[in-house]
Amino acid sequence: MAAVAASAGRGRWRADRYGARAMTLALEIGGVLIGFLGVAALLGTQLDRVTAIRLAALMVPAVLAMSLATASLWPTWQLLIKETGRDSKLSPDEAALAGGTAARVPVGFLSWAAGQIPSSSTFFLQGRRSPVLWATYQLMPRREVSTPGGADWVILYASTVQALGAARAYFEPPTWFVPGFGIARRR
Amino acid sequence: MRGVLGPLAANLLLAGCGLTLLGGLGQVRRSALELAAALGLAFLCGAAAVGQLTILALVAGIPFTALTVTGVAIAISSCAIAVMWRRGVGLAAPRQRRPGGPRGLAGYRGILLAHPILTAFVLVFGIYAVIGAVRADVMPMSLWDGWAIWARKAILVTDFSHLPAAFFNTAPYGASHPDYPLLLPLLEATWFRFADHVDTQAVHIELWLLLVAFVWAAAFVLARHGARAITWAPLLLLVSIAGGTWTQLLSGSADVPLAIFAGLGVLLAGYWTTGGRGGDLALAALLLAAGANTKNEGLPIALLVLLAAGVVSARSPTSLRRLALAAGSVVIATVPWHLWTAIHHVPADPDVPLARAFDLPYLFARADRIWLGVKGLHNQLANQNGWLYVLPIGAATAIASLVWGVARRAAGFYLLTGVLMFLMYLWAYWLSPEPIRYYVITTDYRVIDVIVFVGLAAALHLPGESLAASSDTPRIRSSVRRRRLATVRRPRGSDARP
Repeated sequence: MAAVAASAGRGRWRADRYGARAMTLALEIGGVLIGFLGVAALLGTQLDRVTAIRLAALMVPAVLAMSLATASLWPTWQLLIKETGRDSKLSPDEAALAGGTAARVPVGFLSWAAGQIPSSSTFFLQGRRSPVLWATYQLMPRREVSTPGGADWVILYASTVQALGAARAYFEPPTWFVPGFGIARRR
Repeated sequence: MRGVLGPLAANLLLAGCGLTLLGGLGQVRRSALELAAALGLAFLCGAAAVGQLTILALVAGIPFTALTVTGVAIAISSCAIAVMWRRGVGLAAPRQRRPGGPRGLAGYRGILLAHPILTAFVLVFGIYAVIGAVRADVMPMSLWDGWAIWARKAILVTDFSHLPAAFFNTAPYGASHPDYPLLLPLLEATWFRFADHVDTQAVHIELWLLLVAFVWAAAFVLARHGARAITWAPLLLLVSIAGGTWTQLLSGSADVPLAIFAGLGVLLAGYWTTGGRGGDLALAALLLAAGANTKNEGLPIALLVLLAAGVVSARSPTSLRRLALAAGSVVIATVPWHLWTAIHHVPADPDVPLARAFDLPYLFARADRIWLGVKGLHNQLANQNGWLYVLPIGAATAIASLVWGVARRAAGFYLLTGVLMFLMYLWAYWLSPEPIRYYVITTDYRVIDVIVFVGLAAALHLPGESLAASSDTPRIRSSVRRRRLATVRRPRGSDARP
């Protein structure tokens, strides 16, 4: 997974990260410092040097922050309101499973499995490992174990009972949600 | 109904506990206005203290229930009240009211009318806080770290009422960072317990409250130290609406909560470097300890903050002793969780193998990672889409203060703290066995939060020192004054040039 993510991010890395930004932070800090000096120089015509400098140090951050905050406030409010409208349409179940849906896990199958497996049981997930972290979250308080030998139930995830090898003898014939996705209880 | 009133009661309990703590430390006076002003800081202190003692209770085997949280809060409050009683006062005595001065609501209205900037800030931030709370209420727990690490632990503690070791120390749960500390999950679990059901949408309000409390608390701390609203109100508004703050906070990850606790701790430690008040350092230690119990890097961050404070303010053995005491308190606060993970063989975070921290052949063999880490962190710090120039403003303010001789000690403290944190993250990138590009891309945008909050603390604190250092009435430059005097003294009709 790390390698896939790394290769996917490589384009962004090359384009964005080592380009024109090499001095950006220094220039940003330098820009604010020039602002300090400019304001201090302007004030310095009317006030003594020390007071001018200190007033500049007071005014520049406040004015910059006020300008930036004023410019960003309305778009931020709009975005928050828009996102609220979008997410308020979710049912409680859809909201609770949104993480799995975003990770493209068949949450409907796991919800069905959760309805069959008692909450104090342990399970072993046989098949693709990619959804395992979400599965362990959605199926809590049921606990996943490392080997089928120690599990009360086996969850077949895009898999077959044969894939369990010798351990399949410990389990009853599976109940299928859809072909390839099912559960089997320990004999 | 309990889904609403329960969490409300829990948060009032935390704030009430925090108020007694602040009273015990002599930080608030017994006036309704000041108590209301201190509520943000009280909430953060209450969450920090109750959360950390609840971790101790869980580790000791006491079941996690609403009653446990209430008992812990009452125990802390009782100790704080006992301290106040020993001192012979309730909360610190209120200031003398001026005869004929404004009372009640009229008094608050008078204060707001007399301070237009403060009024505008309260109004705008208040609207924003409400909009954000409504948004938080419907936000699904859909982003990876939110459910994979933090909400998972909160639900476990809620379901089992204790720490089920098998969910922490077995292979299927290794990818969910089981060794990460418990403060944030316990805050979420407190919401679930008091609401009497697990609602992973509404619990985002608890996270949102941390941001509201941070702004409220920082404003209170700054006002208490004499800073004027013009110097801090725009900056606090800016950081609260910055996308980097609210999007990350509502994602359910712990980086912004860490930045909130550590950032406020840094601000208070900064005030300690200039004023030397013990109360500031005590509160800083409490909040830094909360950061240490929020994320693994919170502990080194806390120790680096106190180290930087020691470097710039090593005035006397007393100062150093107080700092050592603060550092010791922070370390002790993290002991219960680390003890539990050690006893139950919870695997350490594989992303940062501390066992190889000083393995020189290992480090030299991967020295090429340093430059890549520098570039990753730098580019996030320079990217202002998320942070709206908070860091450049803070860094420039600190540099200017250092050069111009305004609060040099505090300016040096903020700069040193920021640099040390940058180096700490760089060291983590260097040490990690993860592919560097993958590791940097998936973390750099959020690990910088705490560095940005150090910049914010500098920008909030130093302009106030600048104003305090200058005279109340700006001095007119002497040459200008001479010119004006000459103009006044010039006889009428004279065309002589001064």
